[in-house]
Amino acid sequence: MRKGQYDIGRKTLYFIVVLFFVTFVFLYLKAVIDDSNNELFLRLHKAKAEIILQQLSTSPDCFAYYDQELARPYPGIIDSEKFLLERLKCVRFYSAFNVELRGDKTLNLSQTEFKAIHSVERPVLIRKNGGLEKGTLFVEVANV
Amino acid sequence: MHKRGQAEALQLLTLVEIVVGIAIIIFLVAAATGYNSFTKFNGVFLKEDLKMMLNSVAASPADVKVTYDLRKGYKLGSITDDDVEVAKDSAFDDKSMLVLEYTDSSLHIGRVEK
Repeated sequence: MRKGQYDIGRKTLYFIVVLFFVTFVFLYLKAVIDDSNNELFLRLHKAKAEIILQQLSTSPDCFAYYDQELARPYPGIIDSEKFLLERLKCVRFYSAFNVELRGDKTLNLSQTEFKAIHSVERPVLIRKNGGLEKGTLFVEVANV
Repeated sequence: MHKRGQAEALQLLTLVEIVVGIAIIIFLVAAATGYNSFTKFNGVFLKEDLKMMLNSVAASPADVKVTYDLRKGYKLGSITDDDVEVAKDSAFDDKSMLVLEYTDSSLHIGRVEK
């Protein structure tokens, strides 16, 4: 084999190896970065559960008691008359969550069947027949 | 093969290497910064962030007003009751600041220039 032919053959082989290596490294790094980004979104369900619980217990549009005479809501006091399934629509964008109000009786609002992956709870006061009793508001979420 | 021919072949191969190298660089940079990676991630991030922000604003027991800075690469299309849409071309871009206002049990979304 002459030197020129040998050089051309060797360079082509070298080029193929480098091309393969660079492509492999690029695809590997891209997969690692994409996985990292996806992991970030998968962890959001904890924050979302907290936000849903916060909204349900503090917003008068959800379950929080609202005094008509004083025209002010009472965050953390759950109005038992408001504890209805249609009130869950006050939480926008998310629907894959269930709510339970544990007091003297346990009341459950289930929107859909799903496998819960995270749950949060908060002590609240339940307003019932003009009186207050201690209770717990419990929210469980799917990957909303 | 004559020596002169060998030199021309080597020159041609070098030129092909340069052209192919530039093409690979362009392809890899385009793939890394294209819509399917960086911009898409920004879009998904904006959607999730705004959904949580809007629900947090609505969780307020009183009236509340929040300005939301749309950072570079963030382009908001529209906000409906069910979803937050992102768009490639939008009036809501990084030159804007969103104004989220929750009054009288309803959410108002406005825009101001930075």
